[in-house]
Amino acid sequence: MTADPPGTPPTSPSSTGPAAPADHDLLAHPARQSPLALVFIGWRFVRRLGFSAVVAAALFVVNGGLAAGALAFAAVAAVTILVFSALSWWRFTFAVVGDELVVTRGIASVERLVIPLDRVQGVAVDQRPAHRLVDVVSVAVDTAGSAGVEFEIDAIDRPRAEALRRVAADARRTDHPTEPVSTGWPPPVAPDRLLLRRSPRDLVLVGATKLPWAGLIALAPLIALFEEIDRVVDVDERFEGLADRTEGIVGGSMLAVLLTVVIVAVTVTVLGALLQVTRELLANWNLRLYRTSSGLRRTAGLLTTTSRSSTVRRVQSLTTDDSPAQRWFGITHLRLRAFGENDISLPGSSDIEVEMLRSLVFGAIEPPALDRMISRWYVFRATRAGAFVAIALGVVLWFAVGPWSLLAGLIVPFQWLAARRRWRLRRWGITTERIAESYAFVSRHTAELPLFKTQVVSVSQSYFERRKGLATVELRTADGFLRVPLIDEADAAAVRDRVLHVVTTDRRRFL
Amino acid sequence: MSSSDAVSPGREESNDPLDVDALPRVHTADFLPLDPAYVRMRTLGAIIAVSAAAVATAVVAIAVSSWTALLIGLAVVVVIVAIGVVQRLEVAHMGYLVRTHDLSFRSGLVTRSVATVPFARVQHVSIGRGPLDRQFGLASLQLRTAGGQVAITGLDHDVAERLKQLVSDRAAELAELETDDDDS
Repeated sequence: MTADPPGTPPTSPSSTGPAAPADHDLLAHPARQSPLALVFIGWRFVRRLGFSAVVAAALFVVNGGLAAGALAFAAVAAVTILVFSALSWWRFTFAVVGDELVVTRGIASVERLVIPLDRVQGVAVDQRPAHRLVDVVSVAVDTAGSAGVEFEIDAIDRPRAEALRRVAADARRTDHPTEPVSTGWPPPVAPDRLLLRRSPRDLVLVGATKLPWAGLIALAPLIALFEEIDRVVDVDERFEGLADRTEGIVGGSMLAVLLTVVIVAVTVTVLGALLQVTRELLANWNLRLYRTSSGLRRTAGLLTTTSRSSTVRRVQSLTTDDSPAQRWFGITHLRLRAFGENDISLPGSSDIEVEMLRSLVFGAIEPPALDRMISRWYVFRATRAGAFVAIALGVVLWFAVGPWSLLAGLIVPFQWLAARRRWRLRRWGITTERIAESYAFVSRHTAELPLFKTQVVSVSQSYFERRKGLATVELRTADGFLRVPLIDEADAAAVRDRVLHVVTTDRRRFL
Repeated sequence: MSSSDAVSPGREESNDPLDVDALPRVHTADFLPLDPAYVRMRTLGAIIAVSAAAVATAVVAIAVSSWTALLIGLAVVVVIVAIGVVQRLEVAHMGYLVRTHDLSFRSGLVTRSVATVPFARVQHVSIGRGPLDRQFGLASLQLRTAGGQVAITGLDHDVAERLKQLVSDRAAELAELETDDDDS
């Protein structure tokens, strides 16, 4: 993948850099959103009503089942949504007053939200296709005290959004006691440095090496509307035609069925792979990760462009996910899981990039060696669960297919093989400062977190685990958790004690 | 590493082995039991809930057959007794442990769990009291962190208030000791 070699001149888009007095001037007076925000606010009202309810109402209208009274009701509802959207747009203002971001909002009761700028942890700037029509962006602001987005501005002009980000970044930097604070204005700050980027070729490789069938999830709405599509296209007839033609070519009916299945499987696989590539290109077009003065910033997107920024401290854990093909090409999907809505997702990361970002967010310590396994009782427990399912299925199917229901027993050996593979590939490890785990079946997942980020640690034992002297330990962080099941109960207690010791003695802030 | 060693900022170069045996442990025997009134409260709560459902069902059942009503009545008695036994066993196993730096809560009957919240991670602490809690002089203590919350139920109200004060004070003290690592 593409990463700047050492010594590469820093790349800094003109939209970033230190905040200037002009930024404060631009944000000093309470401003409303762009009128385009009305569309988004209205859409939100519709979503609150329930998307399915709106679709059902629309279908009701289309099918001609609408009485005059219902039509009037629909008109009143539409006008109400319009009026509420307009009022909501009118009452929403934002401004930067001194060191505080002041937001007023609300229709009946007006809420005045005052956020000290140094508490702003992330400013996400997105541009959807609708925004592009009038060149505006949406802004979402995370603060230290919120797990989600503290507030969102649906549509503002880009200079104002960038000014808000610069002002917030400046406040975080000058609030930082370990960094020298300049007496001059603007304070000296290193320009944003490009850490990595993805070319279209990289993204095609990422999409093509993902499991293709997962890409078919994009077709789920089409599958849901299969009957409607069938009325227009008559898919059933076409499939039957394919089977008939295949039978005509190869003669035997069994072989025809087999060939049809193969053709359908190949088609579905190719279609899935194409969807995966398309999705990667749309979501991660021109993906770039910058090191900014206040943390990290990721920009990407073709139709909807997104910009996610987060402080390094806000990153709680690091995970990687990769398919067998991705492992072959030496790439993985790296995620820096940050508190709030600003996870930094970096598909197609090489080992060098993973190592670089691990050092950046967690420090230059070797990651824990994944040298420990969970108990082999995992295989027994999973196989036993499979056996229960097989028995239940066999009993139910007996009334429908008779002795053929005994085939349900095949679940057991398959489950045993699968469980054995999962057990063999499940590893974990712990050092004085970090814990890590890895599990796989086809795709592989790894997770790593510094122990001092732990918020709650729990050790639990099911009845089965108690009988076998085993336990499950779970570490919850501000964003996600890490769970190691079926380990020796003494080990689980030792992990808990170590975590509590580190949390007690390590005074670094976790956010 | 002794327990007094602080893992301070800038320690990235070191990765010393840790003497696990020297770490302070969460001993099961040290857990304090919940208030005895909590068993009574939970049993009463279960009785009220099951009885309300049973009365509603019985009213309908009487219209069909008196035998059905009798069977429902018997079933209610069995369920209430079973719930009472389970509640008693569960509450007997529940407990909490307050140490210098953290608070643990033990719960569960079939799947048993001990959740520990370090005071340094507590963002917010509150006390909850429902109508039955007030009747029995009980309260629940909720410790919220950025990664979820742990609620200790069945505490004497006075104990809950004192624990809340302790947790708030300790969390505030520890927050002041936090240092900024290199975030740039």
